[in-house]
Amino acid sequence: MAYIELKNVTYTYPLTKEPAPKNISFSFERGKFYGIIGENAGGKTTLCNLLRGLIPHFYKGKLEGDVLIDGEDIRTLDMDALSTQMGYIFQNPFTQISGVKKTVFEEIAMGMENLGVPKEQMIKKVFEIAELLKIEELLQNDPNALSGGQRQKVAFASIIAMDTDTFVIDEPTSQLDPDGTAAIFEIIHKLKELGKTIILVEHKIDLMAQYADEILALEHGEVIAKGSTKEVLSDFTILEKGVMLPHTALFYREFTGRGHAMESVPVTKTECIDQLKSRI
Amino acid sequence: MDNRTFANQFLEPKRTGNAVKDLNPLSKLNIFIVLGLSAFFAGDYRYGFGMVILLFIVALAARCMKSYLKVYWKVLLLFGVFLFVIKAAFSPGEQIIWQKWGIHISVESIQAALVLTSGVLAFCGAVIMFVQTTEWCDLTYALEKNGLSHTASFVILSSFQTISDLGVNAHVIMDSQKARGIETEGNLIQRVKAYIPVMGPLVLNAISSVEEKSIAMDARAFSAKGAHTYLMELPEVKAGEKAAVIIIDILFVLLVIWRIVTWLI
Repeated sequence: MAYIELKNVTYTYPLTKEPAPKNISFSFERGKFYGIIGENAGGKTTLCNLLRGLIPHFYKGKLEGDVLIDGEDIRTLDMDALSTQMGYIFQNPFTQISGVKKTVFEEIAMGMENLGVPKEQMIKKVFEIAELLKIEELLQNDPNALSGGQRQKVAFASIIAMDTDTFVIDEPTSQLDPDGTAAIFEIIHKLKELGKTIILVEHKIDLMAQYADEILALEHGEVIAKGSTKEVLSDFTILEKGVMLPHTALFYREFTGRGHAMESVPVTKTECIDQLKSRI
Repeated sequence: MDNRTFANQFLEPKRTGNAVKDLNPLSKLNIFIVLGLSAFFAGDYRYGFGMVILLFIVALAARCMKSYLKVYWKVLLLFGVFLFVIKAAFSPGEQIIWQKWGIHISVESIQAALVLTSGVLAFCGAVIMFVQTTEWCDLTYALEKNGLSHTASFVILSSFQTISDLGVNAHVIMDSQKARGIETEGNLIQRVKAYIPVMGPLVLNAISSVEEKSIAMDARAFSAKGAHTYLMELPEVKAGEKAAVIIIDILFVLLVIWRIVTWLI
């Protein structure tokens, strides 16, 4: 049985006429890394809200079709219970800081306090996460006085500290520099290796190609491609629908267009380098 | 301080080493409110001003004289002087000292003004002192330990944070207005003109951030069932502190009874 299943899901926000996701069907399995890509306003965040149960529990509107988590309809699922099994990191880092904690240390521990984690365990976990995200120097700082990038890292740290089974992550690197972005992807990869299910919305397609197991591409709320990362990101037709492809795929098109042969469309740098090396 | 030493502080109940600040927030709230109110019930300006002086001594003991004065002088000007002048000028009295244009300053009106002003100054001083010596998170922790719901405690804390956020956001918007060449400084009319267009985005931002903040709190398992734990804890209230609060409360009740009796007689 699929872990999360979307069956012909269509959702329209209150006071709007046009549905955001339209007739989406997709299955998510446990322990896999799913990438959701597509142009802006394509319905990616709405999909995250659906998976996390914020639709229909928080955002009302009209929901058609079914969202099933472990076979149970999202409409009847207990949101409080869901919050303990599914972590959600969303785009805006400024509203993800609670605003009621005096230090980053306490901010990261807040979710664990709510879950009733013993104090010693909380402290140990905060140090582990801070080291992982390289934010040790921020631990004693006021979370309300951090920059956008720092807040994004702290918000990310606060959720992964809760150690949920699944992470729904909506553009976690929008305010980060390339090093910070690479670090976040490394951590997401580590989480996946620990058996966590990752559902990540991102525009950084090269990194997505490197780490994701499966890709779901959306355009104007509709699925335009789905399947394994290699399969979706080798499909040049999605370029016309505003979805970017990895640089290596674009290189392939240019390279083969000039009459040079390559084995297949490489979607990662390693794959591309291997193919080029084999030609030498 | 290195991070490990910082984290180890959480293993022990929170103490600052200052006798005033280390009182339980609820004990402090009780004591300061009672002291402040007692100035009204005493009905004697000497008691009221005595209380004002006592609060200055407490500020010294709590090592917060500078921050206390920073707020208190505004109260002194706004309420103290204003109330004194109004009450002294318009309260009825027999022994007129000076009168003109409907203003009657009498011995009785000055006495009434002193009683009212000393009471207000003592009460405001007590409230300011409580705020200066108590962190809101400590107060909500103490309230939660005494049965307040987790949600109510969060609402209290985040309301105060929202007020300071609004101030910060207003400055950000004003600075960006200034960067676009809009006059934001000058006389009162210019300032008001500059503030009016700021209010829209400020309020709308605040409303939209409330929605996202509630989602963020949900993501932190805010409503998770089961017992919550606390990283920061306050010490247990000592027997001596409890006794002091009870004695002060009893004295206050006696003062109120005495006051009612003297009014009735």
